[in-house]
Amino acid sequence: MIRELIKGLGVTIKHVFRPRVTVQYPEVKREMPPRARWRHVLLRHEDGLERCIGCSLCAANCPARCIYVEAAENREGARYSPGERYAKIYEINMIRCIFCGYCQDACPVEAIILRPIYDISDDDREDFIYGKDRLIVPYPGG
Amino acid sequence: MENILFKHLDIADLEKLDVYVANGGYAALGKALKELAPAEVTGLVTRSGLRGRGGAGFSTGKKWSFIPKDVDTPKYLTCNADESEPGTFKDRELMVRNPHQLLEGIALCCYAIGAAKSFIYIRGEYAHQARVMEKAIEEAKEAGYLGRNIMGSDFSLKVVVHRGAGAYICGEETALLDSLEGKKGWPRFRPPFPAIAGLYAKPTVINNVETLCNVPHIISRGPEWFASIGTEKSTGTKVFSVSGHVNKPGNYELPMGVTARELLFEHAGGIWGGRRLKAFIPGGASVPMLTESDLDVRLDFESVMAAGSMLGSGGVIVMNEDACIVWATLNLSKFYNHESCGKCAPCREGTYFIVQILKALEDGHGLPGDVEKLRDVATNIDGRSFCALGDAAAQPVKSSIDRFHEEYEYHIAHRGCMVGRS
Amino acid sequence: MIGEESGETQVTLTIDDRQVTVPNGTLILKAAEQLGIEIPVFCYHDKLKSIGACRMCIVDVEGLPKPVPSCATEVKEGMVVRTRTPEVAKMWEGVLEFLLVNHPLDCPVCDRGGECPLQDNTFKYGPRDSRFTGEKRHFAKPVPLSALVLLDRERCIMCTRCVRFCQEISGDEQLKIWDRGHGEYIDTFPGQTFDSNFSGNTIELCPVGALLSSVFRFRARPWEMKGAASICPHCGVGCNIRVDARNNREVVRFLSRENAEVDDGWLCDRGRFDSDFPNSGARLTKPLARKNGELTPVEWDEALDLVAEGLRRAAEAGPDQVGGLGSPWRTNEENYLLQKLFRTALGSNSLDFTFDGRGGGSDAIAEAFREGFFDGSISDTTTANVIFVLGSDISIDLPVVDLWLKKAVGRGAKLIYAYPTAVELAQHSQLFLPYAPGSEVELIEGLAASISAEEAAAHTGVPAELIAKAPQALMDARQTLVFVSGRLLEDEIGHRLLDALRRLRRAAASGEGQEMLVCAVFPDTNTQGAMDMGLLPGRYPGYRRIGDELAMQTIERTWLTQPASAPPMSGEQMLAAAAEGRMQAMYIMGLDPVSRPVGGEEIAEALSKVGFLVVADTFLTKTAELAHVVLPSCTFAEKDGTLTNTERRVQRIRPAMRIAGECRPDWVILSEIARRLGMEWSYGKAEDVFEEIARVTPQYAWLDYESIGEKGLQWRTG
Repeated sequence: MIRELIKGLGVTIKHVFRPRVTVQYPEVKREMPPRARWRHVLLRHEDGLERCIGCSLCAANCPARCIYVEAAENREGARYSPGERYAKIYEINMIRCIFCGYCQDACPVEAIILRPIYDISDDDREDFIYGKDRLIVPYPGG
Repeated sequence: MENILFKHLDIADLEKLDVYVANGGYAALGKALKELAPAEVTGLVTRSGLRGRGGAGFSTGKKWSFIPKDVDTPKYLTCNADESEPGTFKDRELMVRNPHQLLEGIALCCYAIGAAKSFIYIRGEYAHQARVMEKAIEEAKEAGYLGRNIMGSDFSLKVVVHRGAGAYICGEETALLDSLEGKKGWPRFRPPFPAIAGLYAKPTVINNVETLCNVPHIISRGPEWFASIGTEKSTGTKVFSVSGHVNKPGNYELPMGVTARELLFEHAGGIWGGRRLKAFIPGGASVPMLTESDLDVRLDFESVMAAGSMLGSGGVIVMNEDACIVWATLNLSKFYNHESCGKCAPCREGTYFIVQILKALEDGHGLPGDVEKLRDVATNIDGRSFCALGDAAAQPVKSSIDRFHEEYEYHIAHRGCMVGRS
Repeated sequence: MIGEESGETQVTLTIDDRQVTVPNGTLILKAAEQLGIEIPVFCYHDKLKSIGACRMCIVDVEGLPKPVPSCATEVKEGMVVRTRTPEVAKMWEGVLEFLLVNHPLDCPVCDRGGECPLQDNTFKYGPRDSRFTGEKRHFAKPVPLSALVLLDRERCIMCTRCVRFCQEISGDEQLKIWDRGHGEYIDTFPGQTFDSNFSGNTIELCPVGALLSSVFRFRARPWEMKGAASICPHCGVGCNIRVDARNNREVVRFLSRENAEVDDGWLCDRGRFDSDFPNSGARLTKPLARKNGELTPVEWDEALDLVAEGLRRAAEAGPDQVGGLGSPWRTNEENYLLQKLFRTALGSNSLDFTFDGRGGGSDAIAEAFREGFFDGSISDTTTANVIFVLGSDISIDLPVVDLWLKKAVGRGAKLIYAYPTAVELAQHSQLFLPYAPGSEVELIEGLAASISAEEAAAHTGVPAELIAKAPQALMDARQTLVFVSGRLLEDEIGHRLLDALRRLRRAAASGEGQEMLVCAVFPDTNTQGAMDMGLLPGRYPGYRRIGDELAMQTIERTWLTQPASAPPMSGEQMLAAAAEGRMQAMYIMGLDPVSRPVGGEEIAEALSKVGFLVVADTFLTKTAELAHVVLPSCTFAEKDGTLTNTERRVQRIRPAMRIAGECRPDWVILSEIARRLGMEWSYGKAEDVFEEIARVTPQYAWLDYESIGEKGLQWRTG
């Protein structure tokens, strides 16, 4: 009986000295493969204009129906994207999202891309609806 | 060979009414009004075998006979003087040098079909020609050859000169009618044909200037005499407008069926610069190109057709061996792109497409496969467009690729021209 | 004429190895359609003349040297047509490639993307890849042709449907083709805007996204929308529309839903573009009750209790002290329940749908409707030989009928237009009679030749020689159609006018096979229905007189209560009573008389003296601001119901979007009030109300929701 105890403890002790597989999240964040598909990001052109044209094709292609887009027209003095149309409202419900990347496939202007940003935790369900403010990359130069 | 339409080469001041009359002018009209019933005039023209000189080569007498008889509705003759086919300049000479010959032809035709009003639709650029015609009409009216009760008969005729605004498409007979009615010159859907519902939806004959100029001679000298000139199916003479790389460009009136070799080397003085002939277009820009090996083709409707081209308007454009075929084709295609009326998609967009490809080839940006693409695009226009303009635009492209394929490929492979033109 | 077509010859031809027999003169395209063979088209449209320009529909015909456009080529006996050969496939692919040469392919931002014929045909018949690598032509995009219609010239494929619409249908020739060849474009005349009454139709005709609606632009993608088959709520024609709502949340556009009897597939701009009001943020979404002088949001139960209590108390004071106002913008069901509530629970017959004075004309018109005097239809314009319009500017009152009239004139019908001023349609008429207002009766007498043209001229101010032209035209006409303004009929002269029309009918329909049809013109959406439902002083539903024993018995059998027989007050009388402080309570449903351009202030003052005022409406109108209780009702886009148009056609509206806020349809609100007043109503849906309408209204007796269906039915007498 003692032998079994020692044998069991032996397994434990052996693992104590093996390299750790967990990290101290959120102080430490694990490196993700570069092409890992997590949270979406809306990109900009080099000149800072939004790539998104508000065409809603991502929403149409979304199997989880978690994207909501409302488009509007670029006006003189209020230009958001090249061309006539931009996304006035762009929302993704991260709880419903299944991170399939179909939105990225559907996008005709390569505006939306799934990036290896995986820390999508929050306290309130409402906060999981990401608007343009959180999705779009910062304007170059702030 | 005797000059028939081009008598003005033999007689000075033939454009003057008294000179014209002194040389037998308006005799045919007088004869017809006195001795012949309208149907007999049509019959004589039919028997002469005269075919339309505008390009299509349709029997003139037959065309006149389509006009409904015994219906109480106005009928019109419209003379197509919108000579816009590149390389064609016969009608301007016929009008300026011998305007009364045309007026007599118009009067004879109107008598035959029962029209009391005729229009001469003349291209906008022919300002001088329009003035000459207007003056001739005034003279003829005063002398009683036009107007009320012509030469004492109960036949009356008013002839009106209408100047176009400079559109190639308005040489297409139905677009011409739309333009004449004051609309945008767009071709009309047929049926109904103009003979049933033409100008202002009334029976209308549309004839080319040269066609009508033949009529007085047929009436005065008889259809048998006319049929004895030329070949069996293409009777009479034809005015060939020779331009391009020849030593003596100009208009030549020769019997139908003359060989291209005789026309170019005996009459037009041979190829310019002592160079070799590379290509010639026998019937205005709208027909397929022919090459040196086709020089013995007889220039009549059937023989040219058999050689893979068309007699068209008889405007012969000659290119010697220094000419770049790709450049020449681009030049022609630009013309068709500019002149497309825009009604149908194949012509409107197809000619634009062709110009874009040819420009790339000419500028040295051509890619392998471009020649096949170009030919396919031309094929997609040919026969699918609304009117013949689209078909015409496809001909230079298709024929030049078929005959000078290596020159196109050279443009792609060497990003430059085979004949030294950059 | 349908009768004349029966003698025409039939032609048998073969399309894709299948035989079909069609009438002579049929287009190949239409013959193929009968076999279920699809041929793609762009420039062709059923309502426009064929031009055969786009070349999309070219097919091979055996024995012909070139392919022919099937949209412009008529069938011939023994013709052999092929549409599904490799050669035809190549031709179609070629045409589509050409159309795409200068087409920008900005489908993702194009309003048409997803419901675009060019897109669909390219997917079905077009090339897989683009071979065109050159520069496409460029235009400024988009160009506003008017405040409502935008033009994206880059997308235009020059099918010229819009140009031909302006030429052939609306007749105003506002759009034209400019320039030539690949540089050509559509535009108005220089310096002019596209201000046709019917400009919106060109947007629907456009087979690509070149013509765009400024109201709809960028609002929704086709797959986000669901359409409801409904009726345009903006005038008495009742054009059939599809109400498209985005994600069930907001109405984004109205599209035509062709009804060959009513609208011929067209909508006017007023109808098409005024589609946004159900989405308005200014909508009432919660009941309001006056507390300490202020309108304060309250719960439905509280509001309804207040209303029931207020009405009950007022009714106790006397039935002549309560009154109800229905609306020409509410459904038949709702107007019906309003009068039922007053005639049962409140014992009052004081019901109307306007405060306007009618000077007794309403009784004459009611009698005329009861006896079936009005029998003309909009679609009778397709057969009438003479059309006579009296006192209505049709282009404004019933815009789409304007197109029917132009079409009739185009086919050779004679239009006699009588109106005090030279309105647009008068220019299309053969005979324009500008009479002095008030002399309508004498004008008709003159036309009927019952007084001399000179005498009529003296009264009307119309030259006698003009009047003298009319009688002969009417005598010669096999069928005469009269559009007479409802406003005139309701007016003081209504009685005499109807009598004059009866005499005219006798004159114009005296000969063998002659007939004269009459249609009243009511510009407001459901004036006809409001009258049918008994919102007329002195009339129960179906125009039966109050006090008519038989009518009261029939109604009692259905209502299980005797209908009130108290003396009625008209709207005008109610207003007068209110001004004198004699109205204890009023219920106004869907009407805003205070906002009238003239006389609104007097109405406001009178209404402020009403003891208890309830207003049920969609917005907080000026009238609602005076109310003690305001109830938020649904717009037409949120409920079921029926509307009756100016030609007595009963048509259905259907909910297109979810109900805004806490709004309720008026028929639900009225049921709730009735329940609180002790009535046992049990309507689960609007259809239940309509079933009851059919039981008590003779004209509606043969109608139900199923038979009304998608296209509507006209009511009839006897």
